[in-house]
Amino acid sequence: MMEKPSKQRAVLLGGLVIGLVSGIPGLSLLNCCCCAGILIGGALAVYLYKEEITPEMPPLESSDVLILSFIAGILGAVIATAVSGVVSTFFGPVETEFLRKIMARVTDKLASQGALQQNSIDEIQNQLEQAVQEKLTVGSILRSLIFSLIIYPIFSMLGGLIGFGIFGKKKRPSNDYPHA
Amino acid sequence: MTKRTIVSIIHYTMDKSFTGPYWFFISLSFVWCAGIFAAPLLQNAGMHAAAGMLYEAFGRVCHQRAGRSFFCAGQQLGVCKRCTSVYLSFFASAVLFPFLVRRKWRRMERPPASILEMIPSQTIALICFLPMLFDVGLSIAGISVSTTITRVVSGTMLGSILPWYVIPVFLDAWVHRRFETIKKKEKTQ
Repeated sequence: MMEKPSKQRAVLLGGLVIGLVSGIPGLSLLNCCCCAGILIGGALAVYLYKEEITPEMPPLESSDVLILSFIAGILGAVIATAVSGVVSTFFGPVETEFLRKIMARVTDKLASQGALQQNSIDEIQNQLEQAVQEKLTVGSILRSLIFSLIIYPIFSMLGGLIGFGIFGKKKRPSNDYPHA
Repeated sequence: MTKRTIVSIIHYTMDKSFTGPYWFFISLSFVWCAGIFAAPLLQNAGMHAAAGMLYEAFGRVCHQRAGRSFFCAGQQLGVCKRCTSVYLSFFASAVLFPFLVRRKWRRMERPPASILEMIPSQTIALICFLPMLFDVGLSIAGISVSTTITRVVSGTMLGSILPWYVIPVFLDAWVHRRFETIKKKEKTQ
């Protein structure tokens, strides 16, 4: 029997989807729905690998799914951080200016209605400035990478498992369990 | 009950090869759900740094809009109402999973050859996913307004069915992986 194909292509494409969906502003909103983008990326990696397996090869196992989607998640976390870093570097000022304008409009409106006092407005604006500056430091990028490296592989694995559970074969090729 | 059924049940409900990965899965799920409630409690206790980290982590998987979130101790939960429903029902369903599987097993005429046979059909997944799809879709299209009840019900439906697709594959993968390691060790010896 032929050996199983390499997992590289499926992992790369799955990771790329996770990375791009999570890193590009706007597209990353998809992750707001229970990490849908990451789940899809994990499931996609499994699907692509399944497509590479021919009838002469051993069938796709659940353990392959676990490994495949886990690695895709790790790769996706790295790509997402890199992409969002690049986006922040090139489009950061545009985003910041946009945010500043919105905040200024909101605070002015609240101040004219008497809902906010001047010192509160100053505090909000200071916090916004801090948040914007924090976003561009190396430390914050590293922190973002660490959070992503924890969350993305878990959700990617979940996506792979759901995909295999729904669309995979319901029977094992052999009944060879450790204690059987 | 046939001998094979008993052997199967022992494999998946009594054997360490099942309990280990199952408890690992449950622990992960519990930590995630506990984090959702820990964020507001820490914030309320004045531990802003720890709470901030949790909110930031959950911010990656949820929009965290205050108007669409439950509150605990006067603070917003880590995720929105829909996500809270999904995660809590996922955890509850995962806890009930072994008991329900055992019941299902006993009712089966033929003993299952694998835990993967416990996975429900695709239709059930679709039925449980459609309410959320409709709720979100109709809300985005402006046809109807998504309410707390629709968010909680649709989230609970999806969250409670997901463990039935995830846990069998996870357990099967874990046990199979272990078996592969044992086989490799035997070969080298």
